[in-house]
Amino acid sequence: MLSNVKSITLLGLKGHLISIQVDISRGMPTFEIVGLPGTSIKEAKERVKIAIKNAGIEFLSRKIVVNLSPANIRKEGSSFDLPIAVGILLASEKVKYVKELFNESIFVGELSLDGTIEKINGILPICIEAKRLGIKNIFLPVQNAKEASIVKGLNIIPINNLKEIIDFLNGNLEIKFENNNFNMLKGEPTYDVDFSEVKGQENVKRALEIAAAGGHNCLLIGSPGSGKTMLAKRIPTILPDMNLEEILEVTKIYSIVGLTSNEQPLIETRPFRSPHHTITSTSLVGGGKSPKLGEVSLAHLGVLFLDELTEFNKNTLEVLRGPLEDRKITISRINSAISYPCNFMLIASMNPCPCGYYGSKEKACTCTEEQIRKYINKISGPMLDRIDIHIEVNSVNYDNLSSKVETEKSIDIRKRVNTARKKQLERYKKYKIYSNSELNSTQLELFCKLDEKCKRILEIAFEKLALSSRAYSRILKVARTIADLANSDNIKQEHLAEAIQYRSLDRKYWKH
Amino acid sequence: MVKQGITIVSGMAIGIDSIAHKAVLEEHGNTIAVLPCGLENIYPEENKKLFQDIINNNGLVLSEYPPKKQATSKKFLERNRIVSGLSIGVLIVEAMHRSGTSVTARYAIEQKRKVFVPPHEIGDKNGVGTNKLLKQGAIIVTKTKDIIDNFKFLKYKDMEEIKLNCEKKFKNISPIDKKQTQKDSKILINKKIEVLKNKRKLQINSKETNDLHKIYELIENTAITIDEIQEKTNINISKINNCLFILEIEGYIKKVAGGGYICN
Ligand SMILES: Nc1ncnc2c1ncn2[C@@H]1O[C@H](COP(=O)(O)OP(=O)(O)OP(=O)(O)O)[C@@H](O)[C@H]1O
Ligand SMILES: [Mg+2]
Repeated sequence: MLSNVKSITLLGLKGHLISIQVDISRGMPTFEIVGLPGTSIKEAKERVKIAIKNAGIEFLSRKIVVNLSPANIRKEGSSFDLPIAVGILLASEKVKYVKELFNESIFVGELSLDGTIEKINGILPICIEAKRLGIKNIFLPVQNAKEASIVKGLNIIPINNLKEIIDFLNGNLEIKFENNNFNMLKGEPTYDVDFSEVKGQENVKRALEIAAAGGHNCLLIGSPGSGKTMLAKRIPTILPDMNLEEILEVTKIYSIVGLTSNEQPLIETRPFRSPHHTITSTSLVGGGKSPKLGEVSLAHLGVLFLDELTEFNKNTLEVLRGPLEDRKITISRINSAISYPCNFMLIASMNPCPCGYYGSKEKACTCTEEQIRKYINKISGPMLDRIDIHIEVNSVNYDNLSSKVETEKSIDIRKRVNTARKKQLERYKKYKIYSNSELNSTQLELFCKLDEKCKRILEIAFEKLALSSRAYSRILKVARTIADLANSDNIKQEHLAEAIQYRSLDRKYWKH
Repeated sequence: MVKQGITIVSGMAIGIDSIAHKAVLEEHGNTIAVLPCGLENIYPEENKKLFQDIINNNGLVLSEYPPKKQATSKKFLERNRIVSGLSIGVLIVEAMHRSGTSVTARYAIEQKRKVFVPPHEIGDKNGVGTNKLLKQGAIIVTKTKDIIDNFKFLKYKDMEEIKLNCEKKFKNISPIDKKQTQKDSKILINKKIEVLKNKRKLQINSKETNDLHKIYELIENTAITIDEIQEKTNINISKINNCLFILEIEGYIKKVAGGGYICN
């Protein structure tokens, strides 16, 4: 007999409905899966066979053919175990066929050999697609239930093992899922680090506040131990609050890589990713044989921190250019192209020279000018072009500072950032951009108008400070953000002046 | 020093000499170069352009040798006695042990000229000679004002006054007559402030002028960071940045590696 069971698979972040058709007929006892199954699905055969046997059901010595349709989508992952098993049970009439139920339900879950149903990845985007398609019931692993309940209006049926689902489908067991005591949003995100832990560094904090407010990429330059890593880790805590849509976007990504759980079904804090400098370009931007998410996507709506920027392979950094521009990454497959979002803020750190102490007060620098020049030149021009703010970090004697100076909490900084970002959202409503950092050259002219006085000041500054010409548009964008933080509609002299201070690498003393 | 209206005398050699002459020319000040060679045989070769620049900008180039005479190391040292002789004081920025600069200092002392020396750290090899001079009683200086204050007949012009001169350059207001400025600078400046009030390129209100002064006072010739300035003045970071910017493009201070500022 022929059976038909539904499931949903993911391509990138998008769910696709799949029909699992099982035909059992007389003939040589074989078990075949067709319809573009990936290697992981071919392995399902053994798991399903043994799990059914261990659920106390005689596995049929018949010819079993499983077809996954549509056949043009390549299927990967272990979430088809459950629908295949249910399809076989249905086709062999071990469970009752109720037309409505099977039409309006999807099944997802991995089987272990004893019949237990194991957690799968990507349940959130699967549920979102299910709801869109008007599916009513979803049969899923118990471990995924809470995350699934983020999507309202689906009837969630959590299953512990194969035996339970057989009893349920035959009407011998009732399964209830209590959905109502799950409070979806905790409100204020809670981070386990805070800016108030960084003593002193007021100048750097101000620069980072500006960076957060305008979404500007940022380079921290400072000697070892000056606190660059410490500062960078805390940047997500001052980025604008995430709205529900953004929380879901991040959760989807973390869901498909399996970083969500019943304990933490929603990701409500902005991500911070800090890949080591030995990372390959594939791990950085994603891709590979069975396309994997890269660090850039895991940093979506948060911070990608490249510590010791000059240590990264130049070619590795090259691949960042696209994602930085497009804010999404497209991975081409044989018959499909999957795209993942990667709208992150880039924070990089580096020492000022090979020995690390150029311009430092603690230790004398032992590098020659030539060595320093070579070191700085390791960062490619196009990379520098995408970084709006450069700021020097000096080590502070934080023991002395600790008691007398009151340091500001992240939440207070974030309030100002939120206000400045709202101004930008309002201003750029029609332009599909969200922050000053995204302004293109036409928009720059439109929104960063300078009066005659400011123009003259900028000219004088370029001449006197020998700034390089690539600094021009960065200075305007950052000045725009400073004006937004000051709640000023126009860019004024003081905004420009401050913005120019955040262009260290363009200065003469780096160029020799 | 140039901004204070002082004429700078030096030897047009490579290094600090040329830097000094060039700095004067940039500010349209007065400078005298004393050569260790004939005027038609400029040494070093690469300074021929500087030679022309000095002459074309109302500067003076002197030599005690016939036009075609070649430079020799003996002449270098001899030349220095004219440099110090022409001057009212000699500023020795760096001197290694037994260097030519030390010879200049010796001439200066013989000629009863004042010798000024900025402090160097012990162990700094460029400071061995200057530290020795300090021991012998040279005057220790860290700012332009320190030098000016050593001459009774000179008066230190503070920033406001210089600022006006500076702005004059940017905006083609009728130039202030030099002699008049000296005679009656107070009245003239007041008048100029009125004129400038509406036309100023850099907008500075009185509160900011105050901040400018406070901040400028803190900046010496060892680098000070923005955080240190903030701690000492309690002015907020964005205001400090704004002031530093003004001071820097006006040429009073300089940003150095590590993000600190020193005075110029
Ligand atoms: N301003 C500060 N307030 C409090 N603690 C600080 C501060 N600066 C540095 N620290 C302490 O010093 C440690 C070292 O800082 P961090 O690792 O961030 O330095 P770094 O600049 O990243 O150094 P490296 O170049 O070696 O990576 C931090 O873990 C922190 O404990
Ligand atoms: Mg670090």
